[in-house]
Parts: sequence; C-alpha cells; structure tokens
Amino acid sequence: MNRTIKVILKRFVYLLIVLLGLSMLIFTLARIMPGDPVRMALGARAPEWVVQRAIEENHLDKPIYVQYYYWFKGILKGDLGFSWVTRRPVMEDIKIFFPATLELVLYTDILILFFGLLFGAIAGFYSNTWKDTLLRMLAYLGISAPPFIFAIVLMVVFGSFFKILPTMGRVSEGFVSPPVITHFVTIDSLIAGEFSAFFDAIKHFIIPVVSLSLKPIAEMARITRAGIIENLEKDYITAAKSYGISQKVIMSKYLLKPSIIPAISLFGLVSVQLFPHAFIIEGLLNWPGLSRYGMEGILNKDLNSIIAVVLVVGLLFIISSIVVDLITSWLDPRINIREGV
Amino acid sequence: MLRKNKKIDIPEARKKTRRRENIKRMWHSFSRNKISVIGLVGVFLIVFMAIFANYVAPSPESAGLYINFGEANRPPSLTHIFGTDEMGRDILSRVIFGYRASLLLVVIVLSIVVPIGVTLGLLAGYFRDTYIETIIMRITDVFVSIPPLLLALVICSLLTPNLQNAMLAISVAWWSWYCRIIYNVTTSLKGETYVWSAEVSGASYSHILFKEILPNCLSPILTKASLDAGLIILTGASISFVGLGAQPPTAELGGMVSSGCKLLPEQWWISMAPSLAIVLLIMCFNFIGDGIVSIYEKGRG
Amino acid sequence: MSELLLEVKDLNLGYKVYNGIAKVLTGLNIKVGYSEKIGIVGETGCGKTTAMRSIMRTLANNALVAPESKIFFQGKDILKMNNSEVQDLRRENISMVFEDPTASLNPVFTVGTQLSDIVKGVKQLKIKNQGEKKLKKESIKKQVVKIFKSVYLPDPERIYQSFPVQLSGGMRQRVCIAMALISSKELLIFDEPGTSLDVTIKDQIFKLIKSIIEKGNASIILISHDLGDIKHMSDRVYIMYAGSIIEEAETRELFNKPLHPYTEGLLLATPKLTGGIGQGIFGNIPSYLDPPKGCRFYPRCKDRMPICAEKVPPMININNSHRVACFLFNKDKGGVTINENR
Repeated sequence: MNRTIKVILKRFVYLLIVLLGLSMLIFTLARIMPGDPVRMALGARAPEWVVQRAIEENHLDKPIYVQYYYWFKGILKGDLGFSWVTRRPVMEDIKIFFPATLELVLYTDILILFFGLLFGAIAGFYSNTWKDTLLRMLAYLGISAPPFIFAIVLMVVFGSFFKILPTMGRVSEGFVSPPVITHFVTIDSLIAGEFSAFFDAIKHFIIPVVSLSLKPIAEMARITRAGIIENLEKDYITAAKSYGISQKVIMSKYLLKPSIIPAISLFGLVSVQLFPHAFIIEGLLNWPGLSRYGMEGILNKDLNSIIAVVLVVGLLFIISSIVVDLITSWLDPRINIREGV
Repeated sequence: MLRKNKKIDIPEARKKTRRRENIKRMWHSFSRNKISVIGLVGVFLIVFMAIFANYVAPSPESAGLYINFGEANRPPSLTHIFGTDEMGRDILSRVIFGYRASLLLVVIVLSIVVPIGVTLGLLAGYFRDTYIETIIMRITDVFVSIPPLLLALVICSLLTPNLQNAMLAISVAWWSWYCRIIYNVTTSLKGETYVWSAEVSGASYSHILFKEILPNCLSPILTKASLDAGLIILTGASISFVGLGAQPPTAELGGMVSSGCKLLPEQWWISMAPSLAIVLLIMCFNFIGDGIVSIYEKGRG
Repeated sequence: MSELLLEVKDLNLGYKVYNGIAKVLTGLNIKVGYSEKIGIVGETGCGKTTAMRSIMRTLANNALVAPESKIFFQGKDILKMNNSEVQDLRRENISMVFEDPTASLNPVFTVGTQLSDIVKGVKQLKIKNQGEKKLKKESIKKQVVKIFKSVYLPDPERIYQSFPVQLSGGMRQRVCIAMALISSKELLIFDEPGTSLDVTIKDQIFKLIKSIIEKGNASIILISHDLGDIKHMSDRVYIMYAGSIIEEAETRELFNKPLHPYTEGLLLATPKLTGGIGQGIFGNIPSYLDPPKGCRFYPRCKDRMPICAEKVPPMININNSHRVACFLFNKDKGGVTINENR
C-alpha cells in the first residue's frame, strides 16, 4: 500500500508542476493582450496618474517573468491577486463562488454516473431491440447538442411556457438563504430543517444540471454499451454460463464489472470537460458560481481571475484523473498502479 | 532500359490496386450502417449548400449588413421558412451562410491540428528518452491538463474577437490531444519488427516515421478526427455564443443563437433555427464518425 | 434407460453470417458410453468446439441447428430442453474445460469468487432437488479450497484470493479443471487441454486428468489435435474433418490400421522417434460458406476418385467398432453402408 501512496504522490507533484506550466502559459498569452485592462477597470475618466500608479503597483510595467515572479510569490502566501472586476482579492472571490459551482458539478456528476451507466447497461443488455435503438437515437441527440442549447430550450419550455421551473439564480426571491454551514444550499437547508427552502433550491438546480449532464450521459451510455457488447462475446462469459452460473449473476456481476472500466475512465474526463460549458450556462441562468466569475473575467480580460479559475479547473482535473486511475486499478487488477505513472 | 521501367511500373500498379481494394473494403464496412450513410449524405448536402450559398440562399443579402424593418420578426412562413430576425433578415439564408463559417472552421482547424499534432507525436514517440521527447511531451501535458473549450475561450478573450482568431484559438487548444494519441501509438509500435528492420537497413528517419509508423496510426487518427469534427463545431458555436467569435453582422450560428436569446420566448425562431442547424450538422458528423469507427472495429468471424 | 450416456445424432449446424450460411457441422454422430473415454481429433477449424458447444447449449446467437438433430443425454434430448433444465444439466451432469484457460477466467474477479459462484449455483440445484439448506460463506470457501487441493494447486488459500493475472498458465488450467469438477459430474469434456501451455506443464495437466478419471468413473471426451495425447488417454477415437466424422474406431485399432487417407496423413505428420520429421498434408480446410459437393477432403486427398467429388461418402462399417466415411472402402472392400450423410 505504501508504494501506491508513493506513486500517487509522485504523480500529484508532477501534475502540480504541469499546473505551474499552465499558469506560465496563460501569463505568456496575456502578453498578446491588445487591450488595456487597467484602464477598462478604472474607467475612461480616471486620471492618468491613477492609472500609472495602478500599473506600477501591480508590476504591469515590468517584464513578464518579473510579473510571474511576483504572482508566484503571492501564490505561496495564498494570495491570488486582485480582481479588477469585483475589486476584491481573487482568493475571496473564489471562496464565495466556488461552492456554488461545486454543488452544481457534484449533482451533475451524480446524474452522469447513475444515468450514464444505467442507460448504457440497458442498451447493452437489450442490444438490437427497440430499447437499444431508442436509447441509441437519444444518445445521438445528446452528444450533438451543445449544453447551452439544451439550457435555452429548457428555459423556454419549462421556464416561460410552462412556468414551473425558475431560470435565475440559486434561490428565489422571498426565500432567505439558510445559515451557511457547508456552503451547499441544498444540504444547509436540509440541516436547518427548512424543507421549503430545500425544495426551492432543488428546483433551481434542475435546468442547469439537466442541460449540463445530457451530453456526458450520452457519452457514458455509449461507451458502456460498447463495453457490454464487446464483453458479451468474450470466452469467460460463455465459460461462466457453461459452469451453470445463473444468467442473473452473469449479467449483473460478471458482465457489468469489466464493461464499466472504460466508462469510469471517460467519466474522469467528462466530469471536468463540463466546466467550460458550465461557464456559459451559469451566465445564462445568472448562477452565482465560479464559472460565471471566470466568464466575466474572460470577457473583461481580468488576468488574475482568469488564471485563478483556470488553475482551479486544472487542479480539479488532476484530482479527478488520479481518483479515476485509483478506481480503475482497483476494479481491474490487470492494471498495476505500482508500475508508476 | 526496359527492365528498369518494369521495376518501377509493377510496384506502382500493385500499389494502386491494393489501395483500391482497401478503399472498397472500407466503404463496405462503412456503408453497412445506414446511419453513417445518412450522415454522409447530410454532410454532402450541407457542404453543397455552403459552397453555393450565394445561389441556394433565398436572400443572400441577409448574410451581411441588411436592414429591412418592414419584414422584421416575422415567424416562419412560406416566404421565410425560418422566419426573419429583428433586423428583417431572412434566417434561412443566414443559417446557410453560417454553415459556411462552421464548415470552414472544421476544415481549417483539422488541417492545422492533425499535421502538427501527429508529427510532434511521431517525433516524441520515436525519439524516446531524448530531450526531444521531454520537451514535446511536457508541453503537451500542460496543454491537455485543461478542457480545450476553456483554453480556447481564454485565448479568444485575449485576442480581438473574430472568426480567424477563433480558429487559431481552437487549434492551439486542440493539437495536444493528437500529439498524445500518436505518441502512445508510436511508442508501442516502436518495438515492432518492421520498424527495426527498416532501421537496420539504413532507412532515413523521415522514411521510418512517415512510411512505416504513420500508416499504422491511420486508424486512430481517422477515428478521432471524425469524432472531433462535431466537437470542433460545438466548441466554435460555444465561443461565438458568448460573443468571442465572429462578430455581427456576420452570419455565424452560435452568434445567431445568442442574439436571438434576448427575444425569447416570443420570437423563438430567431434562436431555435440556428440551434437546430447546429444540432443537425453535429449530428451528421457524429453519424459519419460512428461509421468510421466501425470500419476499424474488429469484425466478428 | 439407454445404455449410452451421451448420443449425438445427426447433428447439422450452420452459422448465419452476413454473406450467407456457413454449414459447419454435417451429420455428426457421436456415442459416449458410461465410464468411457472418447477422443476427438481434428485440425483447427474442423468444428470440434462447435460440436461441444452444441452439447453444452452455449452456441452463439447466429447458430442454426437443423430440426432433425438430436443430442440425447441419458435418454433426454438436450436440444429440446428449456433453459432451466439446461442450467441443471450444466450444474450437475456435464462440464467442459476450455482450450484457453486465460480467456475462460474473468480477469476482474478473484479465482475464489468465481469458484464460489459456481458452488452457489450447484448448491441451488441441490436445494431445489433435495431440500438441502443454504450454505454459509465459510463453508463455500472450504469447499473451494478442498477442490483446489484435489487438483494439486499449491497454497490454495492464497490462490483463492488471487486474480487470474497473478497465476501462471499451468495454475490457471488447474483452476479451470477445478471449476469443472465442482459437482459430481458424469461427463467431462476437455477441449485441447494444454494447448497454450509448454510441454512440461502440459504433461502435468494430463497426469492430473488421468488421476481424475481414475478416481471417479466419469466419462470424458478429450479433444485434441495431438495424436499422442489421444493415444494415451482414450478408449475410442473419432476423427473429424471439416465438420463431419470421417473415421471412428477403438484407439488401438485406429493407430494400427488407419483407413481414411486423412487419418493416414495425420499419423504420418507426427514426428516419430523412429522416423524423421513428419510430412504435412498440403492444402487447407474448405470454405464452409460454399462447401464442395462431394467429400470435403477431396481437394487434398491423395487417393481420390471421381465419385468422391460428386457424392458425400457414407459411413461404412468395417467391423463392429471401426467405421470410416470414404468411398475407398465401398463395394470392393466389402463394407456395408449404414447411413447416408446429408
């Protein structure tokens, strides 16, 4: 077990270095920035000396590697710099906005995992029947539509036409936010015993979670289905049948486990790929989350917030890929994690 | 003299018939899925429409700066199949021209990304344990550590928003995935006998890389590229939806959806028509992609 | 009650592929008595495994069995059994050990888990029939360890917790044999045991099979393309070619007096201590999609006659136990035609 931990740590450190490289990349790209973010933030009417001082204070007049040095020093202290848009330290912004996005992403991930594997399993077991064909057609639709289009359709149909789902924010007006314990609105309201607030919060989740999860569910279902169909013909399934193991056990145990291994690997990818799509959807729905914060940063060329958001996403990606690798090697003993990266 | 000619001719002829047989076989596997053929037909139709947009579109002026408030905000009808937008432009025409931009995007991005990514992957995989591999793969690792859409958005935000920059941004975000795949394939192929025998007989590096290893990478490249076509369009649509791609009045599908958003739900056709167009195009590419995957799928005897 | 444990009667089988039907088995007739050891010899692709899978009812979905085919086990037609009866058959009466032990073991579960599941299945049957009680986990494990010991697996406790990838080829083959032995079986089928193993391990496996046979009184069907194995292990031999039986005899007689040109070729192809390197039989098995009209061995036969290309040779009785499907033994050798092959 010790060796496994060592390998994980090694991987983690390596990937942190990759993150650093990523930050250098963004910094370098920022050099091409044609606009003047300082002036944009301070306003067109700000006097020249104010702008100059802001530039000096933020080292924006120095060469890129000096800027990077100051930024890196700040990172070590936990200071991610100052956001021009919100006029707050970026660290604070992240602490405020991240839980909202995390809650959204977690619920989406649960949906993806559950429905992706379920639909894929159904399509695989009942392959070439009407159930399979229907699911495959739906899957084509799922992978072909961008999440923001789903969101718009859902907003129009359920938000305006049927008026049963809210389209703005996390909690409706008239509801007081529950006392903040976990920063998760749903869990906090449950803990506080305010069930009406809980249901209201859940209602707000429906449109973003559904629109974000449709494409990944379709992708997961497809890969699970392919895995099951491939393994259905494998010799060990025929062997298990011929030794008298019941069909139920074969389907639910012997077939399922090897088939979901590629799906779990895919899950690691899709669970992070949905972040940039969440950017757009949070913007559409006025969701006070990290993604919208990042989107505002992108649209306003706010370098510090852009870097911070990119790094957060990158960090999540690293964590998810390590977790996925661990789970996959636990599921499939042929993959030997002791062999290293 | 005659003998020399024969030597050149016979291998050439053999190569041609082998290639023809290969193509026939690939088409046979591909066409077994009716869905893939539908996708191929769909893409052909859309490409045709896009190339001859000027003749196919009922109102080519609508694609650019055109104002006709008299016809503004008309719902779908016989004269305007997709209706008109708030400027009075015919949406169907704009959609057809918008297809032009999307198809151009896919073609240009793939033409940049595949050669660069594949070449770098070949180099990194073949020259393992040298500084070449280290440099290429470390840079690749940085690029694959964030979702491509995110990187493309960030890059677009740092440049002037227009179609060319969107293409550039997507290319920069996309090349590294090809590099990684080809790197994995090359490292596993490097130990194969035919590579070793080519080395021993003194073949040049470019011969080994491009004539021995590359043909065996064809299947993952084709598979990935065909599945990427849909993804690239999706990414492009997302970028222009947030306003970082082609700017109005250029007809671009994502931008059309976003400008129609404000008028929801009353004038639903303004954003639903381009949405439908996007979904259709991506769907057709995905149909084709599945067909290409089935070409290389191991057959059941 | 019939005298035969297993009788395959007129088995005609084809596989439906996208460009036609591959007629793989034609008029297969095999008889296995109680406590009898049968060998089936044939080259790769001749349909041996398909025939065995028909017995186990584990054929692929695109397999088409002709309605007149019958497979009788203790008098009951296996091909007409329903799913639950077939499952009982697999749990109690017939078992098969497959050719490739690595492919027969599920890679993501421990060997112990897989065997426990088989034990549970067998137990279910006993609960149904004899009203026994459900087994607890520890006693299932004890049973599995006991079986491991009976196939001479060293350190059975450790093997119980191992994954197939952690075991050597020989161990995996023993595990597969253990899987076949779990319940008291009457018929054991071994499909090319030891093909994927090196010679010394293969030898051990065969010794193990021999000891199993001697301990119980099960009948076995041993499939191999290696004549040496067949010679040592079987009482009677069937020679298969391209989906039909072309010769059957008691082992000794077959090896002393091979009749069919194919059998002769097979024997010659084996390198002997006394002779030199064997000679092969040139050519390949015919296509099943478009099989030849007459004898399927016609293209490769050194003794072929014009009639062989026109009609399928019937099975001819040479003496009580020796039969051969070849026109060479018709009329002039005083053979008696028993049944026509279709």
